[in-house]
Amino acid sequence: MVPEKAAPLPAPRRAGGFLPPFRWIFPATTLGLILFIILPPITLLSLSVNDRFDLVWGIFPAGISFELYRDSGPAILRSVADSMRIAVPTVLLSFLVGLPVAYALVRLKFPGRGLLAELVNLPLVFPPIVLAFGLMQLFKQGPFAGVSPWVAIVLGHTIVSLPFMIQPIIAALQRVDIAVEDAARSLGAGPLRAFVTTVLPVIVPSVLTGVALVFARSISDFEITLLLTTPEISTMPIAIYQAFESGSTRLGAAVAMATNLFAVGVIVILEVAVRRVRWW
Amino acid sequence: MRKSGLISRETWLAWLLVAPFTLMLLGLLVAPFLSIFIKSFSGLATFGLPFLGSPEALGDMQPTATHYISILTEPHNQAVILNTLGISAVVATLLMLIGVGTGYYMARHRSLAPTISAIVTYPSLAPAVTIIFGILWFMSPTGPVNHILFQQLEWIDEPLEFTGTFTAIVVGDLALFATLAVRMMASLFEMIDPALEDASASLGATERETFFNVLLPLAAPGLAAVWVFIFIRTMVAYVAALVLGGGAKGVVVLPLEIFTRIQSLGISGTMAQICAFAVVLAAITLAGRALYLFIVRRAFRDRLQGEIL
Repeated sequence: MVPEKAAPLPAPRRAGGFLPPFRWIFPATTLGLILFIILPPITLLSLSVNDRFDLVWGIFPAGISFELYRDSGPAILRSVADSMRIAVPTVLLSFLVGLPVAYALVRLKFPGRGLLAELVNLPLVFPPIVLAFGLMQLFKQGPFAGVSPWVAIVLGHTIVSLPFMIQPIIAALQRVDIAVEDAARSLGAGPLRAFVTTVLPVIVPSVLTGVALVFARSISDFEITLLLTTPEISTMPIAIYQAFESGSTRLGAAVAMATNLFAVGVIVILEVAVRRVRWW
Repeated sequence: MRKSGLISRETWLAWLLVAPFTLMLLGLLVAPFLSIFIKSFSGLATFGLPFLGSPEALGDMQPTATHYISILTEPHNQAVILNTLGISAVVATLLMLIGVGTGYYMARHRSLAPTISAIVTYPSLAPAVTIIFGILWFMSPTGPVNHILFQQLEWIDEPLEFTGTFTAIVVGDLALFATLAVRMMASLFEMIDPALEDASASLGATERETFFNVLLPLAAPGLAAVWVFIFIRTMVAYVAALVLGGGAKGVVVLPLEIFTRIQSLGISGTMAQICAFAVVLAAITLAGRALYLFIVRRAFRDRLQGEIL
């Protein structure tokens, strides 16, 4: 048998002569997505600083005026206050309830550990509207009917936010060496003191991440708040929704922009704090 | 650990630590849902839920499956279910595609990734209501899209009707969940070694061939997981449908249907019927979650040793 010469490798072919290079799909998609994300908020921003109703090209303000913000200042501040009055207790409660769960899941072995790991994610998976419906019954007609709506809403927000607090703490605790805690115990510290002095300072960045996530979740919550609220409570999403539904579009845009700035601002501050804390 | 009696100290401690969480979960989520579940089979038209303020006792309930049958057979209900499944499937598919495009780009251009990530993260920081209203006004008759298409270029005869359509809800949900999809995809592609692509190119494959024959098969389980994840999220999404779907007279999805029925409780419909809807929604969501976990656990078996998912 005559040995054949090995066939040469085929040269790379350019696919499709008239189409743009395949690799352009990726930056094109990215650019399209970025435009899709930033253009609508710009429309809202322009609506809120416009001095009249019509926008240039539908997107740019014709003239800048902050009159809308001045007029709706009290309403905005009040909705910020209401949202904070719910978000802050939610964050605290999530921390107090969630930290022990994270610790138990990472450090301890006990029957039911696997089940608990699944249950931690349950509030995330469960449809919020069904949860809100159940809570509504619980607090309006059921055993907790006399409870203040503020408390009800805080409890509702906490239950859906707990996974956001627990997961980062679990990740952080998994990275912490148990030897440090054991060393503290061997030197005579009680379990709580050992934890607070050796482990807690190290996981602060992840706790802050959890705080930011819970805060964001609480500030943005709509369904649970809507079903449990009374007319006197007006959190930011509720205020925005009511403004738009009643036709005050520009007012709604102003409150929406203020809400965005507030929410994004607080979260950015928290994230910066996380990064600075990580640096020691 | 030393055992004192049947239960070790470690177990006692663990149960004590998780007690508040378990109590909250049981009291605020599990118990009400059980009650809803039971009530969904009730033939009575009363308002309360069993154990939760209902005047009748468990034994008085007339068990019936009519509410579930009504969900499956009444045309309005069927439309709601189909709309919900349809919108979720479309959003999941679109976001999977967009996620692949942007996620891959981010994974292979590490210098640009933080900037892109920051922009793409914005929708998850801002409340959903503001994003949805932004889209509402962006697509409104006075917004830029109609301004350009209708007033300037005159490609269309009248302003695009946006609210109250299937597309509107899809667009809204896309905006809300793009962050999730892109981030998950970016992580996925970061896990795939670029050396594989280089090897493929050195063997003469075009970029397109490398992408479809090397990258996609490797990423496939992750793509499936992301698809299911987004599908579930969109199924329970509510704000987009409420604002952009035209309300009760427009395109209705399951969460919105439940909400509308709650609002009209005194006027029409029964509590039990609402409960049936709630159970159906929860069942689909939980099934989806089980599917997601199944895919992820099978596909990423090696990387998730001992991790709590």
